[in-house]
Amino acid sequence: MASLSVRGLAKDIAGRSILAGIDLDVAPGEIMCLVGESGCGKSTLLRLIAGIERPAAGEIRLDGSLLAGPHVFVEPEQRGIGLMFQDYALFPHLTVGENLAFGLARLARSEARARVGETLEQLGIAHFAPRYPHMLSGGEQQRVALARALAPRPRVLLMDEPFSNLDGRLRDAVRFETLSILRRFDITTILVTHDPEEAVMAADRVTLMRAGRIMLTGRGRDLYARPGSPYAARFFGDCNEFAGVCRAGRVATPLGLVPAGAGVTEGEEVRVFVRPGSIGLSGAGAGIAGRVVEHWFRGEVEQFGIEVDGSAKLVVVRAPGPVDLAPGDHCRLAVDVARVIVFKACDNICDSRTEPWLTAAGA
Amino acid sequence: MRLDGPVAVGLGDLDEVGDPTRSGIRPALGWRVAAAAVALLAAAPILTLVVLALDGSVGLWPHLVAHVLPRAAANTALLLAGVGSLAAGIGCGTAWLVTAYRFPGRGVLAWALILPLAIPTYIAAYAYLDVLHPVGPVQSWLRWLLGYQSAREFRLPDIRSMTGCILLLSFVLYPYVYLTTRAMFLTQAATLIDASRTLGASYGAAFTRVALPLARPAIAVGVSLVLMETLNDIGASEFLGIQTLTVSIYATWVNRSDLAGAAQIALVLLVPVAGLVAAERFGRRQRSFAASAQRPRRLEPRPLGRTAGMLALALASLPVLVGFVVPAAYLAWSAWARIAFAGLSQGLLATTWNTVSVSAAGTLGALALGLIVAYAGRAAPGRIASLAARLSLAGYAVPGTVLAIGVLYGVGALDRAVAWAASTLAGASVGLVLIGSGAAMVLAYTLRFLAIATGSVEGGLSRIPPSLDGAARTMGAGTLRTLYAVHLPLAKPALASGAILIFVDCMKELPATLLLRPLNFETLATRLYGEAARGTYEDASIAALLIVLVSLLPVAVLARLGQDGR
Repeated sequence: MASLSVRGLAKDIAGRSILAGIDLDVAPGEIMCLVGESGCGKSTLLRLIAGIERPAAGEIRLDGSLLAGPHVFVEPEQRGIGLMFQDYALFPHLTVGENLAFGLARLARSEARARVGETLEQLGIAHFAPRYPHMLSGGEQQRVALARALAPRPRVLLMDEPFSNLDGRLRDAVRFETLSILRRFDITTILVTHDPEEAVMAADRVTLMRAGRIMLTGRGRDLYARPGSPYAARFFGDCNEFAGVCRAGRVATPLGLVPAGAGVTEGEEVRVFVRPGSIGLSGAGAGIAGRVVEHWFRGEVEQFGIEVDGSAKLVVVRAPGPVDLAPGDHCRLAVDVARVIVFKACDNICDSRTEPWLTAAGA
Repeated sequence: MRLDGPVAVGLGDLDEVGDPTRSGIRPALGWRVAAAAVALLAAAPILTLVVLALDGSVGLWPHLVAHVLPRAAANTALLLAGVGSLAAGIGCGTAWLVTAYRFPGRGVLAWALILPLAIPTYIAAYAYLDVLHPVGPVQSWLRWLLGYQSAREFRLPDIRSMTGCILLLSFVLYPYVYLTTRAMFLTQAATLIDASRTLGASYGAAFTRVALPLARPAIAVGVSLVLMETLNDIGASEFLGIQTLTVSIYATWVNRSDLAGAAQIALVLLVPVAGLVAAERFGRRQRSFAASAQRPRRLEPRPLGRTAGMLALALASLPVLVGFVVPAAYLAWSAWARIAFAGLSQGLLATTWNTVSVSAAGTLGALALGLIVAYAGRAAPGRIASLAARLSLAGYAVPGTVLAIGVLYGVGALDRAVAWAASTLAGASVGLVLIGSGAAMVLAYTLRFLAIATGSVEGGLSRIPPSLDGAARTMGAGTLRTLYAVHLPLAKPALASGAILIFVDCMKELPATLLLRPLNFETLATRLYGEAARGTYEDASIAALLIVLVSLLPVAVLARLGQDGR
């Protein structure tokens, strides 16, 4: 197990800044997830850590020793960092066993053979050894790519969108299995994904990136509940958004009064974010009156679009099914005020400049 | 898994990982140095020429300007203009016919039109001198047909003329235009042709007003290649008595032993070469732009009526007949007659062995250097790698004679230094080691066909996703191990086809071989040249047939590509 630390890392490609001022710390044995929209620089950060690309500035340290910095650049083959590629990058001319053995050139031949067998065994794919990559399905190739990255026992494992080439149910199954393997190997891991659900589910901590910078780092649960910026709030899940003004510590919204929270002064403009799951829905009783306009059955939950006085957009509500409401029905809405997220209006403006560097609590 | 045995292996490298002295740019530096060395070697002949020409005795220059250059330059210009336009016409016309119309024999002609590429220009000239000789088969038959008795009463115009040379070169070189233009016609949007028809243009007008203008970049590339080959040609123009610049270079060196004069003419020749290189590059840039802007829906060929179909068949067959069938059939027939009369001579076998061995050496040399240039572009991209890539094209762009003069001078100086060192240090007389051993010739092959090697290695490498490099590197392989364990096995097919192309080109090579071969060393090409120059027809037809047969290999590959490509 090794710790990884990145300070002030920057990268330009063709004169354009791809990454700037990146600081990142990953604790030994931790699974860290880099998440962000495509093009935010997360894959580039991974490639810089692996040593496939050279940074323009900044430092990368592994257990305190410098991998990249001013006048220092350790070639990727010297780093002891494993990288699993999005397209798996299995060598098409080598069998699965030979693919694994490729990274074990420093071991004696018998030792390498034993390691290949052992690793394949641990992942439950020993029978793949004599096959060629093209003879395997996508899920099987993914497993081989993981085995190949793990076989040299790297000190840090990097995974670039490891599940994006799989679809649907297979993806979920492979994801759970991969994570349990990572826990078993107890290896420091950085995983890149564009899927916020995958990020909060897979990682010990999540780092949100945007436009070549890190926006915030924290535990998935904290980022979802206290995202720190409107951009992050929208990124990690759908929101109903309302504008309002703070009056006596509270904000009036079409869904009723909610607490403005600390640090908001009297008369200040705010934006209120309410997650679709933070709203209680019933056919009658207490709460704000509304009328069902849309109804989507989504399996485990049901989603409603509800017309409410004072809101130009339909209010989105998700409730565990079954819910006995149909379009045209009248209903009552009750907001769980403890789970409401309030931003000062200026956060929006700051956010559009991707500043300031908000860090959620619990990091 | 906790920190147990296997993990400790990984940790053992820790000091290595953290040590800045071990880190850094060494692998990339190695590739850069190698690429720089190749770049220098590739540029050396041209630089030598410049030095040599500037250094040459000024006394000869006025003579050249007064007596040699004007005629040679005029001849060359005329030849280029004639061959360029005729080959462009034949190439575009046949490409449009087989792409846009359906007629009997179209499927066969589509690939048969490439066949003349298998006939080197000097072999075509050699064959036609005999076929069209006043007492040769064609003229005899014509006289018999027309009822004349002797060659004095009736004869065709002499092929040994500018017109003859232009016709001959055009009919064997047009496939360069055919190939590039047909590829363009095939990828052109059929919708554009349809659109022009709805706007009132006839099918024929759609060709001249839409298809042809769109294909201009491809035509420019094809014609540039044709003209480079024309400049390179030495056999055909000499056999047909046309004193071109290329022939003058050879004559100035061989007849006058005036290397500086030859270098001066060679420098003059570099001017049109530079123009052609620029035209070719421009064409390629435009072509990729034009092709990428269009949807590749194929043009549906239009059926032709019976008469029109027969006419199309006749028109499109003519270049194949003139450029391939007639000379190949003549060579086969006369080779057969020679073997029946004298068997295979010992000398011819030795010549064949010579050809194969120096061609193999040249192929290996070119592939090795090409590998360095192409791989440096991948493992250590930057200014040096791209400079090396550009300079590796130099040998292919300049005529073989020009390259040979540059090599001759450089290697000659080296030889004299070696000889001097041997005689002063060891008191031994070693002669001219590098030229005498054929090393100079192999070096010329290497540099001349380096472009093909670089191109095929680059092509092979480009199909290997860069993530494989990253995977190999993160698993502890350096660039060298990545090269031989990952790239070479995956690029093998591309390397093999590159090797075939280079080998065949080495076997056909005449101008540089003539200048650089050791005394009494014959390849198939020089043997044919010698016999044709002396007018003694012995084993030449067999040598020519061998060259043509071997040359069919890459042509077959090209034909297959054209069939299932697109």
